[in-house]
Amino acid sequence: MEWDRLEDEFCSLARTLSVVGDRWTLIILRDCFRKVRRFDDFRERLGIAPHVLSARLKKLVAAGVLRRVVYDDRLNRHEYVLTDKGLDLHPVVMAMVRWGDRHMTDDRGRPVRYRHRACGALFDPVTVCSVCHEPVAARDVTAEPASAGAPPPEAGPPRAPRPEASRP
Amino acid sequence: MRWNDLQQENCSFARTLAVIGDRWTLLILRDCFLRVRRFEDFQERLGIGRGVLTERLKKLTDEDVLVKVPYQTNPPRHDYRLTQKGIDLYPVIMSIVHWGDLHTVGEKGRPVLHQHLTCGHTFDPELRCSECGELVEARSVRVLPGPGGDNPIHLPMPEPASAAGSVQARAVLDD
Repeated sequence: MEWDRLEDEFCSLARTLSVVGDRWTLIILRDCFRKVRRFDDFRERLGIAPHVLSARLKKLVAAGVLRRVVYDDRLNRHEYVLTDKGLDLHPVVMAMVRWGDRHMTDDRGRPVRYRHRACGALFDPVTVCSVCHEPVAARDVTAEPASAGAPPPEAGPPRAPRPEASRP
Repeated sequence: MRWNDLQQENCSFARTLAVIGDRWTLLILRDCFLRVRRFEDFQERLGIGRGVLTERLKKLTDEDVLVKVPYQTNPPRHDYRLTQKGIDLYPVIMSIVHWGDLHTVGEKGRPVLHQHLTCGHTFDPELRCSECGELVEARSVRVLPGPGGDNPIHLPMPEPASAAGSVQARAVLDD
């Protein structure tokens, strides 16, 4: 396995890592989800060198994760905005935050909390099965090679939400 | 922000990155969830240099993500197994795999399917709210300071008040 060939690996994790698999890129994406859009704001918040930031943003635009949007015609200024493909990375970011909240916080507790606008409650993200909506645990899952052209999993039936005890 | 200080950042995301934030580490963890446990097996499957693999496994062991379990005494040999802290990374790995399934597979389709033994179906992982059970999407989440928060830089940027988005206008909070 070679880094510059990671996108050729027949593995969805390896291919994702070929797009987002370095720390600056992941930190930039975290900030994208916090509505940071402008070059100078990324640079200021992250303390990242301009050429490194520029290279990472360029790669994310080329990968279709971010798009450049002009916000000032006269000055030819643009913002970096998440595409739908980029928004689909939200579960990745949230899953990493959740693990950090659980295992890497100090006595003061979690630095940031999340409120779900849909229900108004402070919440934790729970990874569930798309079909039965039960939480997914590693030991309850088997991975098997897909036959060529195998369809994606069936969509789950719509069902009533299943509340789960929150961990403050 | 410096990489060496990432663990000191008061941000759960940055602290997680300090542990798992490089590609080899994430690929090693992927293999851990595929029940790879022995040094030689990791090395063979990943084609990773011995020094790099040793260093990454040591870091994951130091961080209590993996634990060394002896399986032979003469000569001494051990497995690397996920701890509970490590097993808790499963949603991270699955979310990365799922994004790859959505956006990086070609016409051949996804390389691997995942079957949920609880219900027997092949499935995708979904991120849902612990309180109402609905899907969690970026636009439906509001980020607030938590008890351990001490730096507004970890909160969202204020929205520009106008399309022109002057610096002053951006002091207005969007929420």
